[in-house]
Amino acid sequence: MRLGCFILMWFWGNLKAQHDIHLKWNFHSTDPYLNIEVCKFYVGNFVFYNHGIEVGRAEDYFLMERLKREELVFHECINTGFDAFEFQLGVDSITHERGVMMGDLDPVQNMYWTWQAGYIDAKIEGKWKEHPFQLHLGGYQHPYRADQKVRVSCSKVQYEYQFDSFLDIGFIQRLNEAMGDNGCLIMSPRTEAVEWMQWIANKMMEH
Amino acid sequence: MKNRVILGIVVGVSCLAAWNPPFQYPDHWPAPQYAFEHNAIDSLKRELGRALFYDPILSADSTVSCASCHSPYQSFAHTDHAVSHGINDQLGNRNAPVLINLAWQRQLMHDGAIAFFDFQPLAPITHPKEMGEDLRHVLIKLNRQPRYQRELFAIYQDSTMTSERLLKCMSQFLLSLVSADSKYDQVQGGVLSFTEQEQSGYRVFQAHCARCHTPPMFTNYAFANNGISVDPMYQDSGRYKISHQAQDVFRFKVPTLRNIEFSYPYMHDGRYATLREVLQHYSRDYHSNEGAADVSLPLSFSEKEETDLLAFLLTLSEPAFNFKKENQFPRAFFQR
Ligand code: HEC
Ligand code: HEC
Repeated sequence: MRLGCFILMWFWGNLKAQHDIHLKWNFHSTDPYLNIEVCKFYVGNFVFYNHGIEVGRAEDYFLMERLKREELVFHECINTGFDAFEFQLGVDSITHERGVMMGDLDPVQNMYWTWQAGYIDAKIEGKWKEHPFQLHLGGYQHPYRADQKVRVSCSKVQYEYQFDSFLDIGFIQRLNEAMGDNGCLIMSPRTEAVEWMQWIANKMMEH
Repeated sequence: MKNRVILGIVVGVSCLAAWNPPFQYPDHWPAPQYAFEHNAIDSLKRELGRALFYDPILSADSTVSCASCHSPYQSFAHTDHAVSHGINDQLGNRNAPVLINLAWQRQLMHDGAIAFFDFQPLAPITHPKEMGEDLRHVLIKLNRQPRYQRELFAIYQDSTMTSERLLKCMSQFLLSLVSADSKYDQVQGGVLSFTEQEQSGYRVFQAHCARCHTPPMFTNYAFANNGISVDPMYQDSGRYKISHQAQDVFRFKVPTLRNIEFSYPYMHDGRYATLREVLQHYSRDYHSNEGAADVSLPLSFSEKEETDLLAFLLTLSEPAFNFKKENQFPRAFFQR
């Protein structure tokens, strides 16, 4: 059995109606010592390119959440394949400025820090070998701006894309290094949060 | 005083007390900072926000409303306690500031923790020592109240309270708390003139204070260390808590001095009871926080100048603001 747990994300075009894009997160853990209780994060501002030309765009933000929301479908977003795309991991400051919003950005989603103000870009909570960890990653202001731009280029024009897993063995190694006696706790904007988000974004860009 | 109407148009006829005029400020003021394009001013929404501001239903045990700490008679500051006072008689660690001219602020709170205006009420609502509630639960409670349902229907043709409606309506009320008609404003508008003493105080003010408490808003909206000693009880490090930058240790937001007469006690922890004490801090305090301060103390002004300065500071008051009916408890709403 391979150690590690995997989150996979696919885009694929629906051949009958090529205007739709599906986006799927597949959460799957094969590591018996890792128990993920919460894993959710914002993604948004998707832009798709074909030979350098923008071919589709979805500006909304979506809260992806393990066991609750693992798939997104963009209807009529694109009418040709893409060979590159980018999106925001975490909520950018322009969106913060727009004020209160509904849906995925509604503050009742518990992804908003009331005393520091600002969206929490990602929450990952659970236990590793009985050591608890709570990563609340966010921050919109320099030098603790945590949201990341993820850019991916593909080798050919396509409708689907599969990401490398980010909660894999590398995640567990990082977590292990960050663990203190009482586990690992990040609850406000700070350097460690930015580094975690950079690491996750880099994992998503690796292929 | 010439007034410019920035966000005109009172929409519809409110069955609550009519709010008129909508939103005005004098010509010598800068433009406000709030992004009104995302929350256009509407008198019915503003009235709903006003009701929410006075409604203790926003707190866990329905005992504390925003107005418990922000009294309309003190320009929405709090004068009973040096630091604020929430549910179950718990004390916070900071003094409640005035709520005036908020549309001009980029960052709220003494340390600027809140940069997004509409989200501000979430802070007191969810703070365990203030209102100790949960937003989801507040919405459930409000959605059981016919008086809110009626009002919501009149505005949105739908009677559901949502986070967006709750927070944007509260913003509208807060933004409408504009105090722009002090003697100072009337002097600027050419309607009145200063007495000799006020004029002399104005000169002292320009020389020593205006750099931070910059007219016409009487703040430059920056964070500064004004040389007060570190409070032994709370050891509040101020802006540093938010920015984690060494230079921000013990810096606090420069507060407006408008209506300062009514907003005692003073400083982030309410340490000074009177304006005299504040002035004595600036003119005689040799022992405080030297080195790190953004102003080198003591500032040199004589006792006469101190009194003149006090006279000038009183020209920044608009007593009528504290008694504006349209800002007070909306009795009619709660009787229905
Ligand atoms: C328990 C007392 C208490 C209650 C209740 C309370 N506040 Fe406050 N308020 C404070 C204190 C103290 C501060 C300063 C906090 C800080 O700087 O950390 C403050 C700050 C503010 C500010 C920022 C002002 C500025 O100039 O930066 C606004 C706006 C505000 N409160 C609105 C509200 C609203 C709206 C409610 C009701 C939802 C409310 N408050 C309830 C005590 C209270
Ligand atoms: C270096 C910038 C700076 C200068 C110069 C300065 N102040 Fe302040 N002042 C501040 C800051 C910052 C605070 C808030 C401190 C806190 O909250 O603890 C403050 C607070 C005050 C307060 C209390 C306000 C309140 O709501 O609690 C008064 C009154 C005041 N200053 C008056 C003056 C006067 C009068 C002068 C000139 C003699 C002056 N200040 C000069 C920065 C400055």
